[in-house]
Amino acid sequence: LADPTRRRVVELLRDEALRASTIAERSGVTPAAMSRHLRVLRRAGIVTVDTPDDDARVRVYRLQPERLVALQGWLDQVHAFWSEQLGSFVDHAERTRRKPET
Amino acid sequence: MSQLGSVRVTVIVGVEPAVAFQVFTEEIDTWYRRGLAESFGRKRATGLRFEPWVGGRLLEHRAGGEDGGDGLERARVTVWDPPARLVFVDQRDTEVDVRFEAAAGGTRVVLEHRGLDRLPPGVAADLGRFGWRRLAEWFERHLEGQRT
Repeated sequence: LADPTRRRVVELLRDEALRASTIAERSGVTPAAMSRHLRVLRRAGIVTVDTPDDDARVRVYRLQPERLVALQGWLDQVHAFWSEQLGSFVDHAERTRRKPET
Repeated sequence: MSQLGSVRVTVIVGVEPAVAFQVFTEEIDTWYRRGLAESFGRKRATGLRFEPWVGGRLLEHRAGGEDGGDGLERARVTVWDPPARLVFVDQRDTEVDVRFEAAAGGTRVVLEHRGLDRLPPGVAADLGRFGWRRLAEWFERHLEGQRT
């Protein structure tokens, strides 16, 4: 999600499901590069692929907002966890050791 | 490999890299705060230590023989390169990569936790508690981030 292209994809899919070619075009990246990004998002369950009712030949990508929010919430939790652990690590290291001469 | 579910935390610690590495590994039991997460170091634990080699384990000790005497394996070391780098993989197959770089004021410690795009079961169960409002807030935040 830190990747700007993937954030752009999420934004584009916020209002409507779109074809891969449309997403690539509107993001200004090549279809091949977009295909890689979409694969990552699909693997994480953030987007799904389906066929609109009116045209069985078309495949569109759809945002799964609950999944996106859950993932972001989870990443926030892990970030807070390590921030706290590393803070404790720094305190301990600096309390028990002399600072290097700089 | 694309990193969708990864988290990075950077701190500066006022000791040299070799000392930082030593404190991080040998003394993990003195600074690691138990009870913050379920992955390892739970409240029932009485100690935490690294086996200092590639393939070594991060072992959690428990009182009363609950750990089988040897300790419970919480993670496995995949890179042991003092004083520069340590990587370990936990039992959910997520990877923690810690780098120690000389910096003004001591050592820059960069910790990256990867492979988080598979949600742990408890978090997945919490899905329903989040709503669109929070999603909207998140969008606003990252849109602002893009503008600046």
